[in-house]
Amino acid sequence: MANDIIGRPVWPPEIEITGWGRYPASPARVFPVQSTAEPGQVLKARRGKSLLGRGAGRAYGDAALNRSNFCLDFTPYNRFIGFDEQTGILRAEAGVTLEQILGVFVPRGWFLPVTPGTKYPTLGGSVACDVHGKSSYSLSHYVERLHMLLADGSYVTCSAENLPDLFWATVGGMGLTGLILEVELKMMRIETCLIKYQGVKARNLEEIFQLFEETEEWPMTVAWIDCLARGKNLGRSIMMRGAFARQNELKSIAQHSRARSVPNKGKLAIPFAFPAWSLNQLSVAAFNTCYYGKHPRCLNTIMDYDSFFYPLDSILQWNLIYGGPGLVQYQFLIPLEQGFEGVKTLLEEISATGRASFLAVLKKFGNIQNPGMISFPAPGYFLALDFPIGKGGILKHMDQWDKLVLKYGGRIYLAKDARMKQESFNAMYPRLNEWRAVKQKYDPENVFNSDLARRLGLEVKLGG
Amino acid sequence: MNEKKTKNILILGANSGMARALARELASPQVQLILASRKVAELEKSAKDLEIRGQGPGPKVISFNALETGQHEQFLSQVLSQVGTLDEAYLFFGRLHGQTEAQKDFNLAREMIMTNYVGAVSILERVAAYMEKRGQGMIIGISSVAGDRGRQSNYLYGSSKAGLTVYLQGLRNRLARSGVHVLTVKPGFVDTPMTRNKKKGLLFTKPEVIAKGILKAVRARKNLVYLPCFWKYIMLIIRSVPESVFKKLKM
Repeated sequence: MANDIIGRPVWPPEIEITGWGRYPASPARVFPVQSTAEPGQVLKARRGKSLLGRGAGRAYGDAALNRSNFCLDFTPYNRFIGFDEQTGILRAEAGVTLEQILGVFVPRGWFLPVTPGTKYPTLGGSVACDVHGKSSYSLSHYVERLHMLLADGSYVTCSAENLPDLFWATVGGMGLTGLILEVELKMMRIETCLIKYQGVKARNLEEIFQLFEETEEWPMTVAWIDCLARGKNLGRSIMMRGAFARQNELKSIAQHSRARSVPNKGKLAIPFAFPAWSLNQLSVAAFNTCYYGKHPRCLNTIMDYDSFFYPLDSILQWNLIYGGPGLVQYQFLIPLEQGFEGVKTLLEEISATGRASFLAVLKKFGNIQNPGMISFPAPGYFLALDFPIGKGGILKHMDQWDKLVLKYGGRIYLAKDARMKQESFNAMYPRLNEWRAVKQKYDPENVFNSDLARRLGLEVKLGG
Repeated sequence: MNEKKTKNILILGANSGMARALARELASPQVQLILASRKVAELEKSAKDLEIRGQGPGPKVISFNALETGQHEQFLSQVLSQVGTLDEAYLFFGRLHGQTEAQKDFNLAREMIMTNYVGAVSILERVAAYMEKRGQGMIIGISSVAGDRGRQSNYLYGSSKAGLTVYLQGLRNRLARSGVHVLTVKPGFVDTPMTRNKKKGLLFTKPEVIAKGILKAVRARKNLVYLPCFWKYIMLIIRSVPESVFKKLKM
C-alpha cells in the first residue's frame, strides 16, 4: 500500500466497479497489490472497513464487489514463484491470469488441469470460485496448497491435509475466508497443445443426453444448445468433444509446427455497448438456426486450444453486445439422476418466456464428489444461459426458475449470479452451515466481505 | 542460437509496474538482468519469476536507493563486479505524490524532486561516465509527459520530470560522439500502482503495452518517444497554447 513520506496510508479514491456482466455496479476503494507486504498493510489500516480480494473482475455479478468498502486488486501481483518439472506443481502469486500461465507453460508441454471458458481470470479468483471446465473435475481437485492471509493478520498455508477445514471452505468460498496470496497448482502434461475435436449434431434433448452418456472416452465435452427451439426440437444442440491430440495423431507438418505454440490470432474488440435491442429473439433465433443448420452431422478435426476452450475470448469485451444495462448469466446444476427431467422442464420454461439467450451451454459433470463446502461443481448437468438485463423483467423470471432448480435438487453458480434470493441460496447448498462454522472460526468479525456475501447472508451474524 | 553474447542490462527501480513488464519482455537466455531497487525481498521474488519465464540465467539483485546519492558510486562498482560490463541501463524509479498534498507538505515535494531529478542525475552521471569511457552503451530514461508543461494539477511532480527530460537531452548531446545512445521515454497515463489515486479513464494504458513500445524504440535507436504515440500529438497541442491563455486554464 502507498504510504506518504511520514507513513500515513494513502487511500485510493472510491470508484464504481462491476463484474463481467456489468450489472450491478458498486463503489469501492480499490488498492492495487504489487508487493508481498501490501495486503497485510491494508488489513492493518482498514479502520473498520471490510476487505475483498479481487482478480480480473471476470465473475459476472457481485462476487468481486464490496460496496463502500475496500477491494484489493491482485492483478499486478502476478509472479511465478516456482515450478517443479518432476511433479508439475506450479506456485504462483494469486493475480497471475490463466492466459499468462498458458503463455509460459504451453511451449514447455504443460497445460492447466482445468480451465473455464475464458483464459482471462486470475488464478486466485479461479480458486475462490472453484472453476470448472469441460472435464469432470473442478479446479480445487488440482490445488495442492493455498498460501493465505487471515483476518487476524496471520499467514497460513492450507491444503487437504493441513487446515483442511479452511482449505475446503476457501476453494469455492468466494474470497470470504481470507486473502489467497499464492496458489500451488498441479499442472497437466500434454504431448501437443492441439485438440482432437469432434462436433456431433443432436436433434433434440434425448439425443444430446444420449451423446453425453456415450462420450465417456472423451475427456472434455460440452454442448452448445439452441434454447429457443421448442416442441420436438427442444434441446437441439451440437455436442463438442475433444481430447489433447497426441503427436502421432497430427497429420500435417503445419500441425506439427503448432504442437507447442501459443495461438496468436487477431482479436476483435467490441468498442462500445450495443443498443439493447440488437440482441432480440429474432436475431438470436436466426443466428441459432444458421449455426445449427450449417454444422455437418459429424465433424472431425484438429484445432488449436484457443478455438476449443476460449471461443469467446477472441472477441474482447463481448459483454458489451448485451447493451448498456449489462447482462445476467443464469447457470444452474441439476443432479445426474434428475438431470434429463430437470433440464427439460427448465428449457421448456425458459423458451416459453421467449427470452433470447445468445449463449447457451450444457455440460455433464461426472460422478465425482467435490469436498468444497460451498463449491458449485458436483455430479450433474450444468446449463448456462446469458440474458441481457434490458429493463430488468428477466430477473422476475429467474426467481421462478430458481424454484424449479430447487425442486430438482439443483443449485446456482455463485460466480455467475447477481440476483438470487437468500432463501433459495440457503436451500441449494446443503453444507452451508459447515461453511459458516469455518467462517466464524477464521473471520468472526466479517473482515472479508462482499456484495454477494451480504446479499446471500454469507456472513457471520454479528451480535446475535 | 547461443552464439550471441549475453547482454548485461541494469534496471533501476525494478519494482515499478512498467519495469516489471519490461523485464518480462527482456528475460531470455541471452540477457543478464540486474534488478535494482530499495525492496530487495521483492526483487528476489521478481528475479525468480523472470528466471522461470526466461529460462535463462536468473537476474542479479542489488539494493539501490535513489535518495542515497553518496552510495551510487559504490553501487555501480558492485554492479560491474558482478557482471563485468554494462550494456544498457534503464531508469524507471520515480515518486508521485498528490499535488495538493505536496503543496501542503514540502517533504512530499522534496521527496519527488530528490528522487526523480537529483537521484536520477546522480546515478546516471556515473553510468554515463562508465559508458563514455567504454565507448558504447545505451541509457534509457523514463521521464513523463507531465514534464512537458507545468500545470496547476501536478507541477511539483512535473517539474522534477522536466528537469530529468532536459538532463537526458543534454546527456544525449554529450555522449553522441562517444557511441553511447540516450533514449528519453515519455509515457502518458499508465495503469500501474503508481497511479493508484487516479480515476482510470480512456487515456490509461497497460504497462505491458508501454514495455513493448520502449523496446521498439530501443531497437530503432530513437532519441525521444512518447508512449503510446498519440501523446505526442496531445502534448504538441498542450505545449502550443500561449502562456497568456494557458495560465487561465484549469488543467
